[in-house]
Amino acid sequence: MKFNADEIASVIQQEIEQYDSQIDVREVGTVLEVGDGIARVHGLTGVAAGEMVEFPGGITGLAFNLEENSVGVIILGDYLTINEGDEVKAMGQLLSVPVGEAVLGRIIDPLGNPLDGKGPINTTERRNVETIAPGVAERQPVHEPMQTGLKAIDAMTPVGRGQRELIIGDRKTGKTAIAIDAIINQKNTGVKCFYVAVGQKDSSVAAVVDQLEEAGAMDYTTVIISGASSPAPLQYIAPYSGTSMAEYFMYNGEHCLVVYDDLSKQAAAYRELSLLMRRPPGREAFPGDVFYCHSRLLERSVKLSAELGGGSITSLPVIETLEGEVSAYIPTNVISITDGQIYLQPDLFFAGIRPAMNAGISVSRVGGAAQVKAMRNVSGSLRLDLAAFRELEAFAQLGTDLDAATQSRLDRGYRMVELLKQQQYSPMNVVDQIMVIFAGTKGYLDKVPTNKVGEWESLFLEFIHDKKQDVWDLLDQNKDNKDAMKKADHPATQAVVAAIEEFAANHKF
Amino acid sequence: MSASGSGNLAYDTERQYIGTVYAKGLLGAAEKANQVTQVVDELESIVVDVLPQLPKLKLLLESPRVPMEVKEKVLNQSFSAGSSVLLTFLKVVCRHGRFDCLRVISRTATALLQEQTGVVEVRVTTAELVPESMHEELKTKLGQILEKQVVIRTETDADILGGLVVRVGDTVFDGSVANQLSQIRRTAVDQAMQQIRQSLDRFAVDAS
Repeated sequence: MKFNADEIASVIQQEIEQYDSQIDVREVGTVLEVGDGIARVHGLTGVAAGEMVEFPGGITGLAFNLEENSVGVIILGDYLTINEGDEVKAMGQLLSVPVGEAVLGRIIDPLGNPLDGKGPINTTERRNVETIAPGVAERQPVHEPMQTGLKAIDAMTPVGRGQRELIIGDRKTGKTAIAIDAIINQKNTGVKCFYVAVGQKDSSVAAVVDQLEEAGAMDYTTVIISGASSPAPLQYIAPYSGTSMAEYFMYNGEHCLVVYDDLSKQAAAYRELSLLMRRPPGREAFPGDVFYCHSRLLERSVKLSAELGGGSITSLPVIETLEGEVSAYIPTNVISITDGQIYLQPDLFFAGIRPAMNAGISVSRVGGAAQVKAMRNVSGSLRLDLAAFRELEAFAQLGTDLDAATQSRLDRGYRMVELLKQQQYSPMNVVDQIMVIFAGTKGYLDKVPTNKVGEWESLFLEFIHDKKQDVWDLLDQNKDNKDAMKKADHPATQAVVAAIEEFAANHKF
Repeated sequence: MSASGSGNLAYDTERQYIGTVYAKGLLGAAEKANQVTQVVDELESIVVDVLPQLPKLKLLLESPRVPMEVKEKVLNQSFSAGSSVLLTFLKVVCRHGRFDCLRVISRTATALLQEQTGVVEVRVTTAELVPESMHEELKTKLGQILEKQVVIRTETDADILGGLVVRVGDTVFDGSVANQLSQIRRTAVDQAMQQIRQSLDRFAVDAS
């Protein structure tokens, strides 16, 4: 489109005519030294911790360290253009980012600047990046499910809206894949998604964005990027700014899902800043307040009380471990902050069990209350059964002769493991999940060869959707009934059993 | 409008701690002798007027290789015209090998004295040199506003184009033409951008 220059000129002229000259009062300081994303400033006597400051050329910074004779400032931008002796101006306000509907579908940096070339973020609303989490009276317990669309997770470690569920594992174990599937599964649920990429290769983020676009998930998703080439201060604030954007929707009574990918890189960025600022290093050279850095972030994921609209932020923080070392500093910290963790293991991953979730040490501390009732009825003991199966499997490898009961438990276990495998980027509806897990746990798969379980599943779901949509609808209506799929005489249970038997009669494996 | 001028060098964090200790000591000694203002003025004159002119004298007094007797002799010969308190102080500074901190000591002593006597230093920047008469006028005006006794230091900076920039402590009151122009520019551009975003049609040229 073309612009009319005269019209723009008239607006500018109007502004100049109305301009009311005022003396500009500002608190200033002088740059003493600058480098590595931080600056030391003399002056700025009245500056508050966390206040924004401005360097020449419009680069902003944050007052980070208030010392006796100088102020340590973290620079949110290109620090190479700042020189010793430059004037620094206190702005008298805290760091904020643009929020609102306009950020959805966009790819932005942690300060809210667009990176996708789709023009400016068209919003006038802003929120502070650092806000205090809601208090006890403003919350309510987690009670609604947040379906991830992954059978293994929705059945064994269910996530509720307002929960913080950690995804932890070594590199290349499918951590991001779980988060992306969870985002894709929020399609048509009204849940707004935020994917915060911290310290990642820009190529991996581009691949994630491609996947989201392909799945049609970018319409309700915001991607906040501070890649591996961004300065440490931007990597440090990225999760907070992503949360601020989500909070806007939460306080308007809507639901959000925030993925922090990943918090170990953010902790490393914070360590870098703290060491440059000469804060004393502690364990693994992290500063003393690295726990607070994560706890105050994750405390902002909340299920708000009904009076405040009942909105929620569910967060899926990601932590990368080294050689499965969960007892390192940052993993233990974040494990203790979150409401459960999904632990991904490389050996499972390479054995083809994907998602490579270790059922034994993965937990969800609050999600059980939020799980769909019918799902709880079919998967109640699944996690413990699978853990017991792993033990039995290890024992069976000794090659001893097994009695029939043990052998049948082993066979059931092999089939359940097969059944819980799932392709990437293909989240499943909860009703589908309930049906197949029901079939598995009740022994309807015992006659299906282990290597045919995947085939059975896809054919069975095809059969249900093509020929038994009424059964599907019945279960969908009854999924929150506490007797559904539990009592054999419940109509939904009866209908599903009948469908499974009909399918078994017509299909031989 | 970057910081410039000899009295406005970058802040020296490392020497500041030492400077504060020595400055307090000097003020205490001068107070006993009842010549505080005189001593501080003389010290400032040494730092500003003498040492930059005689870099070799500075090097000699700072050098650890020159024996103390020689330094004392030089100090006696050079500064015996001044007050005895200052001469003794300079010797003490020399003996402790802290002559390199003299600039910081002088600046801190001046600041401490101003703080004690309720005097504020105001830096006024103008585009061109201002006649002395205006200084007096400014001084009384600012004194009334700040309710303190005011010492004015003037600087010129052609970049501000016109008007006055007054700096009290770390607060800058910027009434310069350059700043006003940049403010007009910023608000005009912001407003125009906002209006364009609100109603694109108004600014679009018809394709026909």
